[in-house]
Amino acid sequence: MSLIRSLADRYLPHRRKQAAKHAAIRAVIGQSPLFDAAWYVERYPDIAAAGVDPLDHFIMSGAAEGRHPSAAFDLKWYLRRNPDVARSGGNPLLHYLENGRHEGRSIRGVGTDTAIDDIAVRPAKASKARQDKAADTPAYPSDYKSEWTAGPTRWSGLAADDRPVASFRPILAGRDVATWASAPGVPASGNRRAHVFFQAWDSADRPGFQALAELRQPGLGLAGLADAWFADRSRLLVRLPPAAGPGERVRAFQPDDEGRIWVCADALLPPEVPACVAIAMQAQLAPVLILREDANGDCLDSAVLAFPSLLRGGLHHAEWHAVASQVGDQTMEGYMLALLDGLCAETGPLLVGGIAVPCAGASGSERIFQRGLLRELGGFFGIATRLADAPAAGPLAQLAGKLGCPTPDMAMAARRAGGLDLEVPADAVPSLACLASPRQGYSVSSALYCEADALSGKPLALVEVPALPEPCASLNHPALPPALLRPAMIPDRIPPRPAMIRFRDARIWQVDVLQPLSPDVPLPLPSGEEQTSRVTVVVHAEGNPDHLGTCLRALDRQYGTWRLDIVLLGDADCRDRALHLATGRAQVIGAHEHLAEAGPQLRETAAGSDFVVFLSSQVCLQDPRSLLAMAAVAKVPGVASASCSLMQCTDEPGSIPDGHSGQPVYEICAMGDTVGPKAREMLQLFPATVVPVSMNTARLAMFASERLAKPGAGGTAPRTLDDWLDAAAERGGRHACLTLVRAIHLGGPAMAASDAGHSTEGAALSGPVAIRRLGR
Amino acid sequence: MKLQVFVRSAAWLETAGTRIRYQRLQSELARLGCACAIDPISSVREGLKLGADVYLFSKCHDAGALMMADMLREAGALVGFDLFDDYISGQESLTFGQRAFQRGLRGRVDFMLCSTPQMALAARAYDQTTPVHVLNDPVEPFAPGDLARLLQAKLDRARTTRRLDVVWFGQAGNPLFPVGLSDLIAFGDRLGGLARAGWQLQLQVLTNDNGLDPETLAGLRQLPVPVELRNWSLDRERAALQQAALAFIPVNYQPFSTAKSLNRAVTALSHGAQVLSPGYELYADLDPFIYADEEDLSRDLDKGILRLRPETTGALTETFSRIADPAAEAVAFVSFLNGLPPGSVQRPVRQRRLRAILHGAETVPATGGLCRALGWLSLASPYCALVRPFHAAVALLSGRPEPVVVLTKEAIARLTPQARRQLTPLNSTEAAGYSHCLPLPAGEAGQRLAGLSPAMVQAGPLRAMTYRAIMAATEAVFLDLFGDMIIVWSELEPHLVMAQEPGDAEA
Repeated sequence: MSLIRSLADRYLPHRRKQAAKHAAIRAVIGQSPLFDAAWYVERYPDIAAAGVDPLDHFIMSGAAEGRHPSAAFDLKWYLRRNPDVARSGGNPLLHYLENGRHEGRSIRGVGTDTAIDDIAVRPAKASKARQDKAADTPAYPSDYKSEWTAGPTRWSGLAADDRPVASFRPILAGRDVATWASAPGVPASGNRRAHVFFQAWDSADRPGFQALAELRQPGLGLAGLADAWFADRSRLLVRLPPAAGPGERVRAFQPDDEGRIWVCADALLPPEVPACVAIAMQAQLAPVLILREDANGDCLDSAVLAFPSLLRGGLHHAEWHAVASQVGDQTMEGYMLALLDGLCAETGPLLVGGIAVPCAGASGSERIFQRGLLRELGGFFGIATRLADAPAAGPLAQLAGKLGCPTPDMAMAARRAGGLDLEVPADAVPSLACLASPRQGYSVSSALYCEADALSGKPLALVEVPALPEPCASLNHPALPPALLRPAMIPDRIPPRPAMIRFRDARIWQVDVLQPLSPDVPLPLPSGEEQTSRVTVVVHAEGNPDHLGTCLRALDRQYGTWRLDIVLLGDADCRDRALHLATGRAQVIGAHEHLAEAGPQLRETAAGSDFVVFLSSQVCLQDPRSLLAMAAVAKVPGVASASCSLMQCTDEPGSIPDGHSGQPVYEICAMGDTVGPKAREMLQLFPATVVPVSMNTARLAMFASERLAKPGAGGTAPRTLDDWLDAAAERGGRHACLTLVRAIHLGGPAMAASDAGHSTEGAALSGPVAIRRLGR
Repeated sequence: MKLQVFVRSAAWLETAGTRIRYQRLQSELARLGCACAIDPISSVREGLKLGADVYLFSKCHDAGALMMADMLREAGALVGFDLFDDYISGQESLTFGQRAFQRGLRGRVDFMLCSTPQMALAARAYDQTTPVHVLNDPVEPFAPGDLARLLQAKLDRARTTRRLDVVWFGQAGNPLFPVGLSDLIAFGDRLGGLARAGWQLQLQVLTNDNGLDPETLAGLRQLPVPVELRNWSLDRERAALQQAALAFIPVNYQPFSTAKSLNRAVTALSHGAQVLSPGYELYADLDPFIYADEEDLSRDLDKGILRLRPETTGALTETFSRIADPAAEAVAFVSFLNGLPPGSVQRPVRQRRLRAILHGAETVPATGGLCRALGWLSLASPYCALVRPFHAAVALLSGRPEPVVVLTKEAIARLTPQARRQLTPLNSTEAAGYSHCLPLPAGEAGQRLAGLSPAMVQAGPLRAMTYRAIMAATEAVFLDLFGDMIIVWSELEPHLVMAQEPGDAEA
């Protein structure tokens, strides 16, 4: 087809005219600093994901869609300011470059208010700083002089007699791969890589990845590639330097999961301009060999993409983002070599022997269930996948029956014998670090994982979740994918690598913002106790006095058999108001101005209580399951105090809409001591679960009373909430915060500021959840 | 027998559901002596006579439909609801409203219709007593001879050119579940398998643009085959299926998808397209004609012997006659209706009770019109923000210390004599559309409403906590003023639909 297209472009007059016009526009726009390809794909990730040439995209459709060509040229502003250009329907940037700037028309940067009349005042795209950076920054194909040289190549088997590949006939016809690879006059490294690659899969014993260990000496040769990315799931685009001489070719080879090698690209390189070559991929987890050959078929250079799925658009791209953000100076080649290091280590079996996927929340369309991936996991890593808790009947039982994946008899299969079963949520796939780690000396942390968008695969975040005690970690929403990873592994090296990539689909993770646990779903907590639990609630009356009534009313509505003794802290007006509030189970038993004053009464009351709760009158426990859920966590051994995330009404753009008309928009204002933008991200990450934090908020904290049996140092009564929190932590506990239920903060936005002052020094055994946003 | 089908709106008459499920049955029902009319529920407001023997509500999930069902049963008709999609099994989704409505159907209908046995199971989980009938989606009539010729032509073209035109058609997405294009993206690798086998694929996606967000588009671009995206229309769907060698219909394993009807595969097969359906085996009944595995399809293409081929069109017709034949479905449906136990005893007109819809925070505005047409009262709770005048409302009027009940003249005519004696006229500026007001009754409900504050009415936690109690008090006040009547709450706000008192959940 590409040949026909190219002939048509050359010989049909109108096509020839179009092609010439397009080339002329490319020349004008591509040379201008007002088109910035890197910025363009960064701003419009769908273009990067599509793998199309950004310059072509801008010329063909981007301008018409109103996309800005660079930060320096606000296309929409230019059209608004120049209605004649808008009416003409032409490319605004082209108009400016060809006419507008000579006519004295202004332009404006994206997101700025100031018009720029003379673009020369701005730094040019090819500034020195940019040039210095060029060595580290992958170039994009549209950097003006790039040229597409090959369309996708149809798969063709290297050894298939019925479909012989002309260019490799000499090799198959008896020219020994090793002899060919070490022919005189060609760079040794290129030959060496080709030799090792073919030995790994094309030889009788097929040692697979293990044979690639030899590549650790000469390297993988990735330095010769300017960039590589997935245009789609089976088309890898590789950008190569210009041909040094006429007739220079590039070819690519890849093994399939049964060990057969396939030719998956074959293209002539153009002279003088870099080339983008399309490689038709058999599998994302299989290594790719790329060869450059001269006109005689001799190898000039080569590169092995040992783990192509790390590349942009690939299955493990989020992993590479995470590693790059963790360890700044790591190169892609360095990371691939490190993975090979683990995979080929002579230290016994691999870490992971099998993958178990819990059914909770599974729809069967997740990536882990894709047949191609299952085959690749079996074929290249010797790992089989199964449902951890498959039901006996129903659709998921049918899915379980389809997962059984026989592992081919490959060298990797022998190494998996001693491996562990890795439990991954249905929305996750194991990272390459996890797949390639030996059982001894691994550096993978099960509490570290990457987030990526389920549909586009776009990397979102790197999340580190310290493991909680098992009873606590099991408090997940019964119908959603498990939010916390089970502690199957403990890292023994620093820095650890992520164990998996979770592909998040907002439609599966959706939960009510205010009641993340559906009212239909039985609370996955121990049911109400036989005997009435006695709870002492210290309510700190502050802010709007009307909120005190709401706070007490919410307490009174809590499920479970509670006896609530309320000790009120506040001024005289508040205390009077509270005493007049008619409540049922919640009885005000005392009122004081300060916590210090209340100390003796509290000590006495708390001693006879099962739980003690500190609560601001600004906090409404709207969800009637709040106390029950917090009590279940507070009783877990090793937990010092329990709290839940607080939501606050807001009109701030970007807050979490609940999807229903008539309801206000909420944002999270506090979760333990983690406040601000991070907390909002955490809400999205953990819709219903328990997370450890370094300190619980002063607005809401629940203690099992036995944790408070010994008050602060010296046996004195606690004078502040911090005293209580410290005392509980000293007794060997972590602070836990639930997102399983959520409370509402009725007051203003002062919460974040007041909580930010908390001292967290030495308070917790494990730090709060860490989230690092990924992105270019 | 007269069967009246009520659909949600006039626009709904044009949907695939109405077209496939009812219009294809109409002529077959007529042959059995059953006159079937399909109208939007709003046509009742415009004077549609309610004289049918059986009423079927289709995708009408509001208080108006519920009350109408109740009223029609009182008049001696059989009433059923057609449950299209499974919004009720998945407990993790935000379909509180649908689940609450499903619970509300218990004891209020004579039968339920479902399009698959799986959907019938989901319905029975909510209600084990009401009879459920599985009405398969009927197939559009087709000529087997034409189909055979079309199949041969498509096969010849595919083998000659090694090109496969593939079509995916359907709704782009669903805000509540990952279906539609998400399934296409998730299972799209299977098409890559065909491409690897040397077939040149061109995928045409016919859909609406509602679910085409950037992530979905990026996902579509990552499919291993070229994609052409086009807006769905019935004509385009027919043309595409007529042209395509293959319809790609992946199905995931979540309840919403596994309870779907077979109509997409039936439509594709009847238009001469092979069907590749990876994932859940939804189309097991059509198994001899469906491919679950692209390798099988590729092998059959190479051999030139496909599962759906001229020689198997007879078998396809036979299978359709078992699971999708309009005549058979009509017979089964009529037999089911005839076999139902007698409905509620018809109540004489004079003994029929007054009915009212009590509107909550979010309601269907058109219900007011329905109330007027059918002689029901339309009552506004303190939460109702609609400006449309109701027959009566509990309202906080400026200048008055506590809420009052405001009334129109129509409502006054139905007040109890005791209540009428307490009427006081309103200023014309006090409450537009209302002429008189009444103080709250002295009982417990009146006292509860007297304690109403603006914070309880505004969206927020206090409203959620007090909603149920305030609505119950409002209902009690209206009962006190109008005497005995049947009241149904109209509430679409999911948080409030599910608002419970602690005692409810513990019970």
